[in-house]
Amino acid sequence: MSSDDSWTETPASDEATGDPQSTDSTDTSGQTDTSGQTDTSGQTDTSGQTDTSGQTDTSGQTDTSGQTDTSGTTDSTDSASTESPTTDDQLADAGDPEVDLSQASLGTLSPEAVAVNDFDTSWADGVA
Amino acid sequence: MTMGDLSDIVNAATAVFKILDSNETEAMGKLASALPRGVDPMATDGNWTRVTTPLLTAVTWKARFPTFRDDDVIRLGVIWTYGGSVGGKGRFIKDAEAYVTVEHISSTFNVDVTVRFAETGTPIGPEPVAMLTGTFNVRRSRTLLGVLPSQFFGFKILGDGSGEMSQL
Repeated sequence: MSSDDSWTETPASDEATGDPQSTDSTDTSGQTDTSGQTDTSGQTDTSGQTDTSGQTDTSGQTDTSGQTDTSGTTDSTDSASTESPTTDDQLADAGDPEVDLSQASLGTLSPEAVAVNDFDTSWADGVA
Repeated sequence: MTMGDLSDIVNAATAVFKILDSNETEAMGKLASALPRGVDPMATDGNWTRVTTPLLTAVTWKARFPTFRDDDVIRLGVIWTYGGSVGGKGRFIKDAEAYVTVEHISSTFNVDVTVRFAETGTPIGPEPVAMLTGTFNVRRSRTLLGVLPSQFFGFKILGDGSGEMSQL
């Protein structure tokens, strides 16, 4: 929350009556929240003040200051990590290529043909 | 012509042909054959038949992040004409061609494919049926990091229309 000098200390109504300050989870302020925002903090506001900032407090903290936040600013919230792969990563490949040999055979080779396995790769550095 | 002559099988197209040059396909400059030495293809007889389905091998480099880039895919093919004879004997090979088709190659990669058919054919059986072997060399390079290891593929094509390709 902002804490600039424009804040005005406003006594809680309990202070004027001498009644003990409420500490349970019930809002006893008799004030109306007109912000139209949702409080997701899960905390109890016992200040008896009205938040007119129109902002959403997602800090999960309890405001017991009895101050009114009119700053119109939003508490910072941690943004979820949305890390994307770098360009370099996008272009990289995961290892050796996959080879599909499902159409790499025609007919049935004789055992004599199958036995031949003298493929020459010695030429590979020379290109016509 | 004697049986010995028919078994002396040669290929007239023995050069190394670059059939994929920096992602651009090119045709072989000359078609391979497996015929008895000194025999012109025009002088042969028998029933020459073009294989209806080429030998095909798909080579796929999987993209690590498919959301951002497609896989790189090329296909190696071999097609030939078979069944011709000399003086009514043997089954030989002519017009053998290796080729590449490109489905997708990323802009920062270059793929080169070279092929070479063997200088001599192998006679199979007493007929004989000619067999011709060959090898592909697939080299992929990345613009900034240089050439990646070669992949070799070997193939056998026969005068009876059978054949196979494998990764070496």
